[in-house]
Amino acid sequence: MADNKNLVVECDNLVKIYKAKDLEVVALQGLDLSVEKGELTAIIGKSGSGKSTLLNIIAGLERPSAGKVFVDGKDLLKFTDKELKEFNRSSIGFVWQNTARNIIPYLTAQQNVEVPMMITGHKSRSAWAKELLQMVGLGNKRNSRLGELSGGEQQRVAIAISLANSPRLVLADEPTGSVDGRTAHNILEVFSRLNKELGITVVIVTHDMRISKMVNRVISISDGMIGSELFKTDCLSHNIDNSDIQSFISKTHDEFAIVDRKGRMRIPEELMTKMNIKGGQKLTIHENDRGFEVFVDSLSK
Amino acid sequence: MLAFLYQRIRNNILLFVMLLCGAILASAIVSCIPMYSNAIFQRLLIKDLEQMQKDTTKYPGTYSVEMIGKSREEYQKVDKIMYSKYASQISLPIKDKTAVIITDPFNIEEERKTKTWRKSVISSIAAFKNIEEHITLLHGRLPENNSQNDVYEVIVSQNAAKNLDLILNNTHILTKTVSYSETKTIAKVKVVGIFTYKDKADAFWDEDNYRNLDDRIVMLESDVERITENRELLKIYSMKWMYFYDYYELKSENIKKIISTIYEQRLTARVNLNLLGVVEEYLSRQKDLSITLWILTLPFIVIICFFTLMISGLIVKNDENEISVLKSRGAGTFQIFFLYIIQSLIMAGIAFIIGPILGKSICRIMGASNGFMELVSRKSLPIRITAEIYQFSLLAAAIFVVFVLIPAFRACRTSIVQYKRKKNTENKQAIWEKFFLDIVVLLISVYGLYKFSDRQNVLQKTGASGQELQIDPILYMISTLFVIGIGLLFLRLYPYLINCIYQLGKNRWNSVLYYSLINTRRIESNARFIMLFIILSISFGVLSSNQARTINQNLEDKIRYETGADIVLYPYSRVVLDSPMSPAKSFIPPPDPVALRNYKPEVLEYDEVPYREYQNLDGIEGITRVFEEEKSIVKGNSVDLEEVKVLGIVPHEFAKLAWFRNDLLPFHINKYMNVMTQSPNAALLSKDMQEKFDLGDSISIQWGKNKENTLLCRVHGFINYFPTYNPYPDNNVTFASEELNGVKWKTKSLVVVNFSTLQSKLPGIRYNIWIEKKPGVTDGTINDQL
Repeated sequence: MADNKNLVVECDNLVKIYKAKDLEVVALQGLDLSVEKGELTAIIGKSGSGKSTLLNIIAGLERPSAGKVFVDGKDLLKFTDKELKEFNRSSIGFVWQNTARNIIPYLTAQQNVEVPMMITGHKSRSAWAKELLQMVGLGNKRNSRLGELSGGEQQRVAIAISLANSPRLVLADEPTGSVDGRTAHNILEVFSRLNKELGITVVIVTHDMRISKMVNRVISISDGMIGSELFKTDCLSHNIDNSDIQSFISKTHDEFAIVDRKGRMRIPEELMTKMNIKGGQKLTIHENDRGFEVFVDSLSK
Repeated sequence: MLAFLYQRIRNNILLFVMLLCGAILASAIVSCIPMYSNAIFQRLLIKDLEQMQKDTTKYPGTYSVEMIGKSREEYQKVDKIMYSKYASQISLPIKDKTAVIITDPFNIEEERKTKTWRKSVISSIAAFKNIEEHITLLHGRLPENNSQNDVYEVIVSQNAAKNLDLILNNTHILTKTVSYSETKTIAKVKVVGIFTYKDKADAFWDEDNYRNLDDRIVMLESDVERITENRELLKIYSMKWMYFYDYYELKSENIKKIISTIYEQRLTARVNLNLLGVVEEYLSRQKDLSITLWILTLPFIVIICFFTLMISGLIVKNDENEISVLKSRGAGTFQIFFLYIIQSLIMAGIAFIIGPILGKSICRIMGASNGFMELVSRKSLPIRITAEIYQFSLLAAAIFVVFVLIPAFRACRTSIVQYKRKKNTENKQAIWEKFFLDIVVLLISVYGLYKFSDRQNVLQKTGASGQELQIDPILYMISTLFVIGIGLLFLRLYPYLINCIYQLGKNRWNSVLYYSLINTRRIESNARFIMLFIILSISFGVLSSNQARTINQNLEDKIRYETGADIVLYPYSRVVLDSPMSPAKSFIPPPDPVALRNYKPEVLEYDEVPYREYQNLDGIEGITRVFEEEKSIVKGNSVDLEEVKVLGIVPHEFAKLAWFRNDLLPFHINKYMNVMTQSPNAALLSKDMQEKFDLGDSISIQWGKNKENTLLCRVHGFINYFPTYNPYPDNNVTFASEELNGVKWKTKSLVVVNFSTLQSKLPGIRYNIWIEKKPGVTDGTINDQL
């Protein structure tokens, strides 16, 4: 538990199982994660990999079936439902993908930003609301309603709403999912600016490849566990192929496999096919002067 | 916060307005019922009090407090507080008041110089406050107060002057017998005037006040005080304070208070209020009426609750998204619920205020229309909105709030994750379906019906009055439950029904039908709600209108049965002799008690208008003569039956004319008439005589003061019912099945004979004339011709 005080999010062996009718779905299977204060992180993964579940748990909207989760130093499992709700209100800002989830359609932008403040009972709301909208660049649109705002503006309002109660952590579930390139860029700029200027920790769950340019650290989830993490390299190449996120990111980020606390590791898929190994394969780890090397035992089948 | 609420309401404005309308309507109906019953009650009560005044000649609003045998100081003490502590407690306006002081008796004799033996008469003094306004002086003048003189001036009534042997302007001595030989002189009085009442019907003379003056001398109040100063000589016997209230101001609000005030006052004094008895009886009847009316509105209330639930559910459904947003921003369940509470309170508040006002208009329309919802011209009802009405309105508003919040409560409890999942799961069964509530309700109603018919049998045997039971609340509730049960059952079976239709023509339906049938099979839970609502409202509407029609019909039938024909005439004039009030030989309707209070009319002769003249009246469809005698004695088979009613009819005319329901007798009434026509001395007996007599028996019927009227007949048949025949005239019967066993109930018996036989044997008998009007002819035209 090093860097305890500096960690905003700390997850240890999270497990979440859903029961839907006669089916049991294991959304998270022993996931470890830590996010430091002031980080701007992205979580990528295929659909069904458990990203949204992870976000919900961190936000306090769901409880894990097993494992530990600490947010801002607080043990979420020790919270009662009421405390969890209070925690969610004051410490977490959430931006959903679907604007219908973020904004109340018949209220103006400013009124929407004031709603979370109303819920927690803050008094002088309009000043702060105006300032927030200013921060996201919509100062002149504070009296517009949902229908009068473009997609990008709606998401920016959503971001402002999420900041209404001055949270320590902002979580975004596919914020650029339904907008075009230019707008996505604007939205991500807002996130970036907030992160740099206000020092708010931001975790974005996404498919969007464009995020990688803005983000230092990209965490890859698959099958309910952390697969690998990618960190930004210093050199950037300009010939970028936009078709495949993995290959794209691999040009700007360095990929690292992550070993979790129990010593398990995930080998990325292409590497598995390249190495021609399947499940059940034996590996040997040798120590040499450069460090440790992993060898595939080619003799065993 | 307010802006937020305002925006919320504006978002769903149409649904809100509908919900508000429902609330206002509910409040209006709930206020309407007590308002209407209060108004009817008040009008009937006043009518009954007027009738009481006519029948007993007592003014209903007379209030009296009497004290007997107390000391003078006590009288004076009570006199001071009489208004403040007693009379003013009755919240009615005072029309008039008086106080009567009566002294102990003494001997009164004429003052004579010579000592001839004179019979002394016993009298006492009475003093009436305000008596001057209620008398007319026949001779002399009113007494004056001259305190220096030791002769008191008095006036006496005409009767008193006669009874006490008092002569105008004579002085008399009042003496008291102390012992056998000794008499003390109390005072001297001089009769200065003789009076009689100004208006015999004046309430002032209630309680035998005038009669009491027949042997009393009337003095001024101040004089009485003086004359009773010496207790040894003369004491005050009693003092009665009387206040005459305007009973037209009797309203449903102040009745209960007045009754309780009287009972309270009765603890400390002899208090009487003339209208108390009538009013008390009315209160208990009003309670029954109220309960009946409430049960009548039960289906309507069910529908309104349902409607509220439905619309509120729609509003909440629209808000589902917003609730999930709020929840994701950390709003607590109660916080969101609180928003709905405020919304519902706003609606309830508006409904609470406006409802009674609308209810008043509804009442007014109800009061001005007849049973078939046509407006008739009738004197308007005194409809008022009182505090009690607002209590009902408040109750309605509270129930409304509860129903509005039920869907809201359910929605607020789901979290956003649950909400997303709920949208994708299949609809479960509704609560009522799961618990088979529809079958349960149906079973309850069927059981209730069985119990009810059981009860009806008991009632028939005990002959309880039909009045209170016409609108049997139990039956009404059973019907309501039945409708609900059938509606729910239908909803349950409806998909199967459609499925059957679909299966029947599986390969033959065209694509449109195919698609519709399959879709209709699966009903969305929302649609189910609306379907149930439509079923309920239409069925309740039809049910209520049918019930109203039946009730009306029953009432009308009852009246027709009891009367027998459109018009029943008694074509004789009564002659009254020996009465100063009326000249001899004039046509007087049954005597007016007020006018003839002290005089017994002697009826001597009867003038008859010839029957032929009646037969020539315009606008009549049929006319017949009917002989009715209530108290006759039937003898035969060594059995004597008393108080048997006799009806003498002309069979062929009677059958055409008399109103009679064909299902009351085992055969059509015409068959019975045929039997009577065939044998002139045929008699039809009521069923209860069947145990004593048999077909073919001979009986003799006697009636009249000296049993001078006799008729011999043969029994030809037995009947249960007959026009104007009520086998159970005794209405004060409690119905308990235990009492039925071994107790013989008093029933009235009936004998029906041929009128022609009657008339041929006893030519001078008096009969009634029964007339049937041509359709469209009013009573007025017939009346005018008479």
